[in-house]
Amino acid sequence: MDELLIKLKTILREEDKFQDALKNIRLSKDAILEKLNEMIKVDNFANDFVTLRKKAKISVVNEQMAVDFLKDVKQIDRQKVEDYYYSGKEVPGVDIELKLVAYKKKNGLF
Amino acid sequence: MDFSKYKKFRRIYPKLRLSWTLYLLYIRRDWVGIWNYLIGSYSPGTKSQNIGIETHEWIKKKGYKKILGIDRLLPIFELKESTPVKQEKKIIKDYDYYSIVSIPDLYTEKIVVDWKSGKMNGYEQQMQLYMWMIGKDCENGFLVATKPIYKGDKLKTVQAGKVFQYRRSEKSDIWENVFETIAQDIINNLKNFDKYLAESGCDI
Repeated sequence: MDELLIKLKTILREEDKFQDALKNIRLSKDAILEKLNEMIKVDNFANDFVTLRKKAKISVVNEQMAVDFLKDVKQIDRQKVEDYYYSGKEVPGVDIELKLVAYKKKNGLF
Repeated sequence: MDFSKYKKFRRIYPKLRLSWTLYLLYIRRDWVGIWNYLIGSYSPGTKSQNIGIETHEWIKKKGYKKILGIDRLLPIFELKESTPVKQEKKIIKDYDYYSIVSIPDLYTEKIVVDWKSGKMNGYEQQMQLYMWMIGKDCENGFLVATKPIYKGDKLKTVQAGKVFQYRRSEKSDIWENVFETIAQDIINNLKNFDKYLAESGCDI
């Protein structure tokens, strides 16, 4: 048993190292995506190795204002808010934050 | 290759006429679809296909600058007032016994745009094909979601939505091999085509 516990200790150390490395990789990736987010003006960008998709995070700041603008709705229709945004209009009372998400294309990476 | 036997079919004679539509049928191994395409058999479109056709016709007639929300897109396309654009103009690449034909919705030497009134996924390869057809300077393809707005039954306007951008692939020359393979495979299957024509009562 002692022998197995020693092996487990080594494995746990290795796991820790990889988790730290992965955390650092994710931080670097987020920093790059943040910069790309400002540069990419389209909603979805793709090349040979990656697809970068802008995801909309909708926050309601003033519900009444938004409902009045959207008309005929009793509550805020997120799809409608997104449709307005993508056609170049903004819905008052609603904030939209766009975050870039990366999807790897494994065949294109190597 | 002599296709004179099939003189009455303009997508076969004098050369095989290959396109994105034919490519889709080929990768689905839909041989009946391929034969129907080659003889130009008409099938009525679905409701959403017909909406797409109507939307495209509206854009062609009124001009892309009349699309609602186009102002957001023009800087993305890097289109200036003076940039010469082509709308639904046929591009043909000629080979010995086949041609590849594409009709992009809007293009310049550097960009190509396709309006989509339905789903937006599954068109990356179509944009890659268009970029390759236009030429090596065409580096970016854009898919634009277009929403038709009706008043009653009448299409009043078209609104732009999401935009998807595709960078030209480094492997874009692969299209030449792809269409060569399709053309060869069609030729190797012409016996089945003749059988299909006989069974459907279609005279050559």
